[in-house]
Amino acid sequence: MNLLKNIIAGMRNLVHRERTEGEMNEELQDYLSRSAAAKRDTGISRREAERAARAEMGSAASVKEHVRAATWESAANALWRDITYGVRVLAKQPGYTAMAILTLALGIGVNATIFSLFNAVVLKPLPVADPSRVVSLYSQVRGERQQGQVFSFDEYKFCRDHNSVFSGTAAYSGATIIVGDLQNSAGSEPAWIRSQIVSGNFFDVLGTPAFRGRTFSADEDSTEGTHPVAVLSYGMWQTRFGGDPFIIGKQIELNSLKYSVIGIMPPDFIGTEPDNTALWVPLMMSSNIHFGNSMLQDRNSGWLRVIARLKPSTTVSAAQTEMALLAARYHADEADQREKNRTTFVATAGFLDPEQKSSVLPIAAIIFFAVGLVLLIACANVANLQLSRGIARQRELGIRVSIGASRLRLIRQLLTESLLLGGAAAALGLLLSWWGAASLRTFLHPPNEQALTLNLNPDWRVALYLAAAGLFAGLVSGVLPAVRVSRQDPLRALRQESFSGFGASGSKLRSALVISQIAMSVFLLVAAGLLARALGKARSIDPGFNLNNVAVLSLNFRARNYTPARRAAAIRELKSRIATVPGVISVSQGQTVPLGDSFHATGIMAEGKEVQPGQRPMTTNTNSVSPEFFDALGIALLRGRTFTEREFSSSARVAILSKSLAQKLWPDEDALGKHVRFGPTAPLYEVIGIAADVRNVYLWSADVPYLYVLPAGAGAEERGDPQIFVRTSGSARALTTSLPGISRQLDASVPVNCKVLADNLALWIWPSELAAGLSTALGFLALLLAAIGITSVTAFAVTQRTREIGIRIALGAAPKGVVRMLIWQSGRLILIGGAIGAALAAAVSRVGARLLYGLSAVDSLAFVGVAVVLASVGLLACYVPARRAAGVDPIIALRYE
Amino acid sequence: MAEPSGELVPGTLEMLILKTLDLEPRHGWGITVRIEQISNGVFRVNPGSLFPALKRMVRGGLLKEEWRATENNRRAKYYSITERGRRKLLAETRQWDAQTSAIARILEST
Repeated sequence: MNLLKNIIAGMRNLVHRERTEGEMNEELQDYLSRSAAAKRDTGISRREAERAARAEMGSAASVKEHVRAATWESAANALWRDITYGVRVLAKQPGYTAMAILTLALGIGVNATIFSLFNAVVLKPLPVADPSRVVSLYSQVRGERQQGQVFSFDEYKFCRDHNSVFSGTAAYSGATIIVGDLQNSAGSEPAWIRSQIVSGNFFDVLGTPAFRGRTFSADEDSTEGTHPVAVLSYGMWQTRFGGDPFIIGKQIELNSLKYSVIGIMPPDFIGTEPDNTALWVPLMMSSNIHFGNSMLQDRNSGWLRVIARLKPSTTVSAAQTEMALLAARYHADEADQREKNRTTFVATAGFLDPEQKSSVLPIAAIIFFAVGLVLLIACANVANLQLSRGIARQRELGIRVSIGASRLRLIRQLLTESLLLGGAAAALGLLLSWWGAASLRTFLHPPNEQALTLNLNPDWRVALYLAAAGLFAGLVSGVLPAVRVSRQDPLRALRQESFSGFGASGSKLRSALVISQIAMSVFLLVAAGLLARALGKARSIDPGFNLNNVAVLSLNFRARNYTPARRAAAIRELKSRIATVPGVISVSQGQTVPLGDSFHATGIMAEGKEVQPGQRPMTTNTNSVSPEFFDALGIALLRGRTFTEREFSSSARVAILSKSLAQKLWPDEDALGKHVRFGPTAPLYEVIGIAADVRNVYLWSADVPYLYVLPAGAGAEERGDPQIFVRTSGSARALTTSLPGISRQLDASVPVNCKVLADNLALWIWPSELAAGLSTALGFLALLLAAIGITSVTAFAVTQRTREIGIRIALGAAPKGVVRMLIWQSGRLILIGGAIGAALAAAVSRVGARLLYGLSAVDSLAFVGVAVVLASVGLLACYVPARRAAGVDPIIALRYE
Repeated sequence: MAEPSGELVPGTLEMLILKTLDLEPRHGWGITVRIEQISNGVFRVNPGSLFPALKRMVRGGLLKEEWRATENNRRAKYYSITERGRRKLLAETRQWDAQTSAIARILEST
């Protein structure tokens, strides 16, 4: 209360400065006249009394100054004077100012760019109404590290109906839905669309009403399969339906079933995932969306993510307590011991779950460290500029000292100036980061995939970060020069003895700055070099099989409810038609795409070494393939043979094992001719062949156990439709346009998709590519900044030593010798800095070698490459100013002062 | 009138100002005169320290300032004590008493 009054009084004084001043004068005048009157009462003359009164008071100005100093607004006033003075000083040297601001803005901009992306992906809450009240539920078995965000429909219903902490509890699951022919857009082919299957209250929990039409109603959420309705995203409405204004109420075909469009979401609605969800259907349509297998009754499989809005009066921790209790109640009578221990966690909802966040953080820390170094280099540059400029300002500062400014006062003034630079740089950095984040976003997603919908608009976090970066840059680049420059000897300054500069300690500081700059940029460059080399290695990995010239055709017969027999016939027909296409070498089929994004795994055991029921068997990746598969993809059979056509058509119980799987099952024996099974009492499969180990699951590991069986042979019923692999002598890319046509000739209604197999490899290499690209860009930015630093320091040294150089030349020194001397002086700094940076990089890269495939800590080529680049840039940076110095005319140089 | 000798005991100016204003509001000169009178001319307040102290105390909420018309048709700024100022005076007086009696005891002991 009192503080507030104080602030208001101060504000009033600041605004009515003249009135305050007048009142103060009046009060002092009143005091003086009373004092004089009192003195006159003692009998002295009026003039004498006035004089005595005035003498007693001292200087009125000083009294007023003291009164002013008792208030906070005087400090604000002084700060304002410092700022206006600083702006004037900076404006007088536009070249220097622009250079300093631009340098710092580059450093800050790079930092803010990275932060904007980090903010959008990790920090920002979900883009929904009042996001701090929206939480996600995570399922976790106590004692295990892995967290799942998935619940069964049954458990979701239990949580939804029994909690007292949420005003709404919604469930959703990602689904790929086939949008069929559209009555109103003739010719558009069936396509897979990224969608979500959601509970009826999904949009209510997120707090977003429909843009047009409505969202789901309660009865659309209560009876299974009776309400085929869909809500479209704005993007889907625009691109797929041309923004049709009468779309509401029209029918669209999803997985061969007619759905009514009931609503369109607003343009800026992103939802729970940043991956362009195009439409939403109710949970109750699970049977259709999951191709006839409704997941609603399946108590054992978790497939739903649960998101909820807290009631106004509750907290996250209260919700946590209750959900843990509910989970214990729900899982209490579970047969499986592990499931009994399952509990639920509650956390504020974001794009990433806590586990993803903790895996992103170390990578983010490394990137922030790198961009932090770039900012430090920029600061070192500006610090050097300020030191040099301090020389030019010695006279001005000396005069200020001689008229009574304290050293602290000078430091404050100089720091104000560099903080102004930092502030301007932060503003410019905001613009740079805006542009940078938008253009970097396109690199953030893998090749051939749609960009993420991220909200990159700067929010208060970005503003805070920029303010902190500006303050940091201003202080770091300003403190050392301010302390150094403010050490003034007024006498010398007035005698204009600026020639000798700051002497030894000033040049030592400058040298230290250059050395640290070089060290930091060498560090970044070496890191960039190592990453680029690692990328090269990742690129040249031989996966062990031949991905080139193969197109993969994916068909979805389940969408059309094909019977297994009809499907087999269709595949046979399709394969024989494709085989007649010119250039096609072989046509084979498999269920999983090598190096693709889906895996099939199964438990496996050798005959005679079965595990006890309840124990976990060894697992292996598996694929069900046709006989030509090995030939078509160039996977060598080390022993035994491939499947025969007869075995293929009869789904015989035969298996081909990868070398590493065979070794794991029978470490000391020959696996050929032995038998495996997939459960303790499951049928036996004869091992007829041993295949070479290939990198078909993870690109980075060559010996993942792998099992090949025939389609519909892996013991369980086959879930997915087969993929057809087509090897051609021509371009696989060309096939991606022609093959779907062949499929449509057979049945135009079966959704079909064709990809190039080699694209999968690009997907694996993409993270390395991203890391290498980013670090190379940062490394060269650092090098550019360091080069500017070296140039300006050498140029400054030349200016300072013009007289000395003139004398040397006048005394007969060869210009070449002068150039050599000057280059050596800067070159020494480059050598020292380079050595320090390289040593640091070598130390840190040992850690990095564990994080990234192909990264080697002792990669001499990367180090030598950086040395060559640095040496040539450094030499050039010193040579230009040194050359100028050697051209100095001795007469002019001696008159320089 | 004898030449006043004493500077104030450091740190007591605010307490003395509060005390002189405890009875009635006064202007700057009035405060100076009052302190001089009561102390029999031992203490004399310099305007160079009086006015900054008054400003501080007004800002600190211990005093209120107000322009009032004076006898000769001019106006002067009068200071009066606030409730907060009274509490502060009470507290400082107690502390002062405790300190001075302690010092006195030390000085009396032999």
